[in-house]
Amino acid sequence: MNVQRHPFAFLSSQRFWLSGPATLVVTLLVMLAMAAWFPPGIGKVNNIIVPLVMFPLIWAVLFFYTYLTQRMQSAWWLLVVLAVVNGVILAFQFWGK
Amino acid sequence: MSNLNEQPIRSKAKALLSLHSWSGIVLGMLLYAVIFTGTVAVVSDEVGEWSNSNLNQQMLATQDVDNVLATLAAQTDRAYLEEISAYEDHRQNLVFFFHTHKQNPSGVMDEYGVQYKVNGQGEIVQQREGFGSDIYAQDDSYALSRFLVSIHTELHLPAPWGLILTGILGLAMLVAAVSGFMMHRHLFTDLFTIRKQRDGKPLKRDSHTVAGTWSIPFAILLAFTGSFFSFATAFGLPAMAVVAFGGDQEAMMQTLVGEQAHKSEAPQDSASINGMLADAIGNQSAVPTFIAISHWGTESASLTAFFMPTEGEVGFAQRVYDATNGEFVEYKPLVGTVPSAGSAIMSLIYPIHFGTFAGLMSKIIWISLGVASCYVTITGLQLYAFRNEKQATGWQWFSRMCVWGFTGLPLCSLSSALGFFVSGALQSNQSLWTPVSFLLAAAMVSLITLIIRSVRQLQLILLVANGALCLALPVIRYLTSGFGWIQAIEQGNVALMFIDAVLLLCGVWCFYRVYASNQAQESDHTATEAVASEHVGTLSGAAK
Amino acid sequence: MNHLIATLPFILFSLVVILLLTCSDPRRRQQQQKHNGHSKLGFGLSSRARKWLAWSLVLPVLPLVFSGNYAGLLMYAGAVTVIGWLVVESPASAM
Repeated sequence: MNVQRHPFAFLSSQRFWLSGPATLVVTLLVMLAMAAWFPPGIGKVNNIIVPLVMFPLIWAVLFFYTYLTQRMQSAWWLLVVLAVVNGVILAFQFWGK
Repeated sequence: MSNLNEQPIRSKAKALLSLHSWSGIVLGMLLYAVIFTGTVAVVSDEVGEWSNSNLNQQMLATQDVDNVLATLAAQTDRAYLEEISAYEDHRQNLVFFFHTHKQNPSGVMDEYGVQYKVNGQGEIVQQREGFGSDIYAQDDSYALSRFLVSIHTELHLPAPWGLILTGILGLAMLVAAVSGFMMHRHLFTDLFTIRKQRDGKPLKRDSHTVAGTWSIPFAILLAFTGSFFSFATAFGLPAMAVVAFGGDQEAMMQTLVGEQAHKSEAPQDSASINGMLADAIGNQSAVPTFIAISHWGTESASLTAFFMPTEGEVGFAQRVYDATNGEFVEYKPLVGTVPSAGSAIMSLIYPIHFGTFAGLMSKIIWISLGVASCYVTITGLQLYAFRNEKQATGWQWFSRMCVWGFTGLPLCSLSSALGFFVSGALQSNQSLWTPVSFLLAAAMVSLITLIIRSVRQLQLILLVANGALCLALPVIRYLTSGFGWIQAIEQGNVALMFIDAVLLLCGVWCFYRVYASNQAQESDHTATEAVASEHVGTLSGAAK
Repeated sequence: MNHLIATLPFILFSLVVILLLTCSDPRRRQQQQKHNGHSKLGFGLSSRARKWLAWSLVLPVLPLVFSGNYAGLLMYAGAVTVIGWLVVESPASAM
């Protein structure tokens, strides 16, 4: 039963790419885009503070979801949708004006 | 059908267990380093006072700040009058930092100017020019507390990598805590029992789960707030500046600090600082820990006084005065100019992470939370070592590494304190010798770890060394400063007595552990001998 | 200083409740019985009573919030955590 696996075998696992790099990149994108779409409030600070505070939380939620889900396909789709939506917001923020 | 239903549940539990183990094993030792020094960092202020055998003199209340400020301002470059901060250090000096703001060589917004240290008689005892972060890094009075805190915040790695690493460690702790919670199906049932092994020792797994379960809420909170601090400083804030302010870090800082970008520099005499201080002290019934005077001597002059949380509150208080007429203007929010959700969140995150909101009482509770988290990390890794040793023989190095890290780090930290005192007594550079002593101790501990064969003996030697240093440090502190407990009691120097007492207690505990371990070893021997003689008896009986 | 003293009774209350919960824990009593032949300090409580006791640990939140003692609230939460761990852990190693 105890099969000796290659130490870098995890690199060929889809789950590793999904929960590792993909989740991290999407979380970063969401945090950055949040600075653009989150209402700044009267104090004009909420759009800076809230994304920074939310970063570890968003990462943790996405990480546990992608790591535990049985349906990897939908997890990929969720990450792609989040990345595209937030990427468009960011692109608009930089070049749209 | 039932098989199909059970399959995902079982694999989920397995997945959680492997996540929990790996997040702990891969980063466990570094996590322990951050948690241990974080526990010390809770009392960093007390450690600062203790290491200098000092009691805060509340000099901002007793000194003639106006007079000193006028003298210093007359000899300072006008550019540095943009902002003046003042606080009392751990050696009974008032520290005035006349500065402006600019990016330091590593590209981070910093303060730049001249720092003066003025003693109780109003004489300048030290003068330095440079970036605020550099001047602080060379300040001997903070050498010990600064060194220990910096292990916690960035493991002494170059910016921003240290911060990124501690941020990742925070996330690993978050993952370990959440996965630990999720895979626990009988939370309430397992909360009160630690089962015994056959030899009467508590079961390692239960010690780990019980401590882990009780401290889960705070482990999650501390991990989350910690990784926020690390990531926000390392790349979050600059990234926010890029998105929201087109890369203008200064503009963002002005928004966050709550300052107007362009202020009138037309000269106008400022009101008495002493008067504003007296008003602030009277209203808060406390002396500010820190004051900042902006645009002094101009028509936009203002003074902000920072106070530790007052009765029942958890957030810091900032009183702002119009320094042209000395009138109280407002309580400023922590972030921005008007109260906001962001500011409220920030003023909650600080006390939750630091535990410094209600004096020594909250600090003692937060230290205990730190100790509990250390215990969870230690028992977790020991559990892993123990299980693997049972299965395979080549795993002793892991137990060895555990002893090296868990007992070695406190020893090295104590050695850095020893280095601080000795170099102070020899009038040499304490900012240099504090870290050097830590490194020397680390080299010695590593060498001993490699030389001594028996892991148990290694553990005992390191425990004895820890205990001896814990007991010796208060004595060495007394010998180098001449400041004893009678004086401390007379002055009401609680911080100093607290750290001394904690060290003595830890020293006694170390020796007790050594004693208990020897007792257990002896009773083990007796038991083995009894079993052996019984065995011999049976054999000889059978032979007859 | 007042708000610290006002928090102490609640912390003591949590100590008492946690002690009761620990001593009446069925698994713990079973363990003690196995090792000592009798349960030293344990006593029985119905699982319903134990649930009520456990929930009573939330009660101090109300007076602490109403009196605006948020520092006390944070300290109480921290103290429950630490006391729980120490109470369950310490007799286990001493026994």
